[in-house]
Amino acid sequence: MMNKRNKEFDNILDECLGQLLSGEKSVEECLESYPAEATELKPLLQVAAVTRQVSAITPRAEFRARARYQFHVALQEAEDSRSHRFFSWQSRWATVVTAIVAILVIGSGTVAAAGNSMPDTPLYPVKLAAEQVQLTLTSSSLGKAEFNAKLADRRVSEILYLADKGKQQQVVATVQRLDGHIVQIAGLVGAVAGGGGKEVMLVPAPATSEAPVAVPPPMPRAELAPLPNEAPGKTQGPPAELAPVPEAATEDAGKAPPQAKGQAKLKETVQSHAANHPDRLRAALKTAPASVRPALRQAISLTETGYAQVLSAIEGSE
Amino acid sequence: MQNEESLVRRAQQRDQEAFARLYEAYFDKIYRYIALKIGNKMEAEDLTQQVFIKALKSISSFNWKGVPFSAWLFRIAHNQMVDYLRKRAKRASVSIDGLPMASNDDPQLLTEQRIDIEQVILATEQLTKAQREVVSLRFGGGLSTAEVARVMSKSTGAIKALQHSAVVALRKTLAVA
Repeated sequence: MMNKRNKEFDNILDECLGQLLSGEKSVEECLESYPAEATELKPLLQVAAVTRQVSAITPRAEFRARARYQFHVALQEAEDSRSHRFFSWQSRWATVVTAIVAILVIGSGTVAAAGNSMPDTPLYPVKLAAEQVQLTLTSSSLGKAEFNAKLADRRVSEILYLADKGKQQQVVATVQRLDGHIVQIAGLVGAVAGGGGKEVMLVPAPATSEAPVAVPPPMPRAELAPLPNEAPGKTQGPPAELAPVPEAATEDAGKAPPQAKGQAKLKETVQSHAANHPDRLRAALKTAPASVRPALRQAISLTETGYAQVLSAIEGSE
Repeated sequence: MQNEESLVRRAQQRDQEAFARLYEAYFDKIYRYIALKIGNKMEAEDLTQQVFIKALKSISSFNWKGVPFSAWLFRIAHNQMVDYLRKRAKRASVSIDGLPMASNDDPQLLTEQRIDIEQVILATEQLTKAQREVVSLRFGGGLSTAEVARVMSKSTGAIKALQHSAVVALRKTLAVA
């Protein structure tokens, strides 16, 4: 009998706790629902109301931004290690030669260490250089466009990280890099469609009444020796490189042509970015210091218009 | 979370966006659960990050068969903490100072809130292991009783009883009312 009564009370307490924790009801409202148990319930619900204060514990903004960025990097690395498509598209000798040059120039340990670096760390230029090497090693326009889409996602994570820290100049510089990636995707999509890589100007003037944003010089890279084919213009492959790749053709024998499949994947990636990037940036805008808001608005604007243009170009070439 | 099953299935197919959404949905909850269990900000941060990296690596092994994703994720967090606590020979002093709270412009309220949180964390240390786990999962992680039961591999009845005894014990320690 006692046991049954205890179980009933446990159920009532659990129901009231659930309502209290979800904010659905106050202590008083819970007590009104169970007048017969109110005397016994009241002190317990009052304790629960105090204990509920722990829901105010939140991660530090700096940690949250760093963790989010590192998680996105881990996600991308997981994807990279799964696909291996990147290296399979290269002629073996060119890959080996370029990799050796990159290792000699930068140092493999440094490159690895720079993988997770943020724009406010000394190794960040190494990370950018490594990205350029990867772009250079990617022969097809579709591959380059896909890689630029990945880099755009990285840049957005970096912008969120920097915005949290209120690093205005670096936010501006990273927004420009993000713009560069979106422009490259648009140009490469144009190349795939046979349009010769028509570029679109995406960076709109920051529409704001707040303090103007000073545009910093490009990221200092003086400590690095120049990398082969590092000039941005050389990262865009000519249309001639779009001939079907033998390995992909073997894999997809009897299925959709590799280029169509690659284009569909790119479209999916860009659609995902178009849906997520502006939202993530808008969320950051709510808590970011006033100094970085103009740059964030600029990033929102360019992701909205830029991805829309890329998608329109992809659809136009289908 | 609506469509959580669909998100998890997409994450298992290495859909980055789906995994990112799961991450955003659970990040604070996992952090709060760990912070409440170990009472140390820096260690809670490290462990939270480890939980999601571990989840990323092993999500392909997760299968639905009646186990909610939340239970699976909190189970990873629980196991990470067990490993961590095993390695930590001596319990470090509670470092509540600096455990950030949701922003509040009222300094007096903020101070009261900090005292409450500090007292609550210290009070949870007086609970039995199982009681503390229930309180951390329910109040810190925001899990339902059914989800807590899944994480702790117990019946919901047992969790409700533990919850009851935990709140009674907290009342004695906190001397509320």
